[in-house]
Amino acid sequence: MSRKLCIFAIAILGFGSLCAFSQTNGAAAGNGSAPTQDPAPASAAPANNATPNQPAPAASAPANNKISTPLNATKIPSGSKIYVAQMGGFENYVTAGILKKKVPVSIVADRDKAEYEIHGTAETEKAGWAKMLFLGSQNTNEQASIQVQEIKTGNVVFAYSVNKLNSARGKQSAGEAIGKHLNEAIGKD
Amino acid sequence: MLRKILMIVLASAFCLPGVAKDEPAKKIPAHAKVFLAPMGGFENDLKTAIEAKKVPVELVTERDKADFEITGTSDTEKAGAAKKAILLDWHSNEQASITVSNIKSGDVVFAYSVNKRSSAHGKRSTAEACAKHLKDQIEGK
Repeated sequence: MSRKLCIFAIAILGFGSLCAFSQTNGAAAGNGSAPTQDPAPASAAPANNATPNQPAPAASAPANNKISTPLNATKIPSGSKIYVAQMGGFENYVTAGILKKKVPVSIVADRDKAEYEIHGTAETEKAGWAKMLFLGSQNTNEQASIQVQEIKTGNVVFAYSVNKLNSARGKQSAGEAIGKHLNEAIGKD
Repeated sequence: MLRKILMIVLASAFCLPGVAKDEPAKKIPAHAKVFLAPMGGFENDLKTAIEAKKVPVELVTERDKADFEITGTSDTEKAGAAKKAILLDWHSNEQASITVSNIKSGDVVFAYSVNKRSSAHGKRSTAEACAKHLKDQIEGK
């Protein structure tokens, strides 16, 4: 009985492997109907055979495109026009921070003329009496978070949040931190 | 040789205006007409400061007649009982931020933020700091 089962299992495995082989051959022939299956054989057999490796780059190209398209789209090009949306007054600090950190973008006051939009939120926690008494500090705690969104597509291309304990310059510090990190994000490959 | 020189001259003639084109748009010319948008009362302090610091701009009361607009915000944190009792400090903490934008083009040409802890003269100090830096920007310092 067990012998029969064993033969049956071997037969199923053999049939399965035959099917898999025929599928991979079909994909290598140029159809590319199952591009997700191609990288596996390519990675399994690195550089020994020339023929199995040949179709791998061609078949993996669409897979690479799938990955690289969003990455390319998420880059904020240098010189982009950015609109800073209302954030309860914090937008002025963000604008000042961007200009101070010399971020290579052009800030516009009109949303229709912009390619990207910055929106976000900011919170200030003032120093209480305990902080003044025990720490002798009257600095505020600041936290802010922004998102840069491409207006046409609606994609969020950059996001950053900052939390400053005992902020020396209040909202100005948070605005400049945003400017600094936006500067690092722009123009990087 | 002449051909090369001619090519260089032609190339520079085409390129230089393109380079120079962006520069004037990013500056506030002297004696430009500036409108101060409402900023919760801070616009009055700013107006006084602009006059006190002799910023070379012409303030107008109607936005339609202006070339540039100043928008901004200002926060005051008055000294609480704890600050007065523990730090023996009656002065307020002030912070303000202004943005100057070209009304026609919509470009933001100047922005500045200031934070003054225990400000000696309250909003007046922050307004004068804004005016001072605006003056520096106009004069190209």
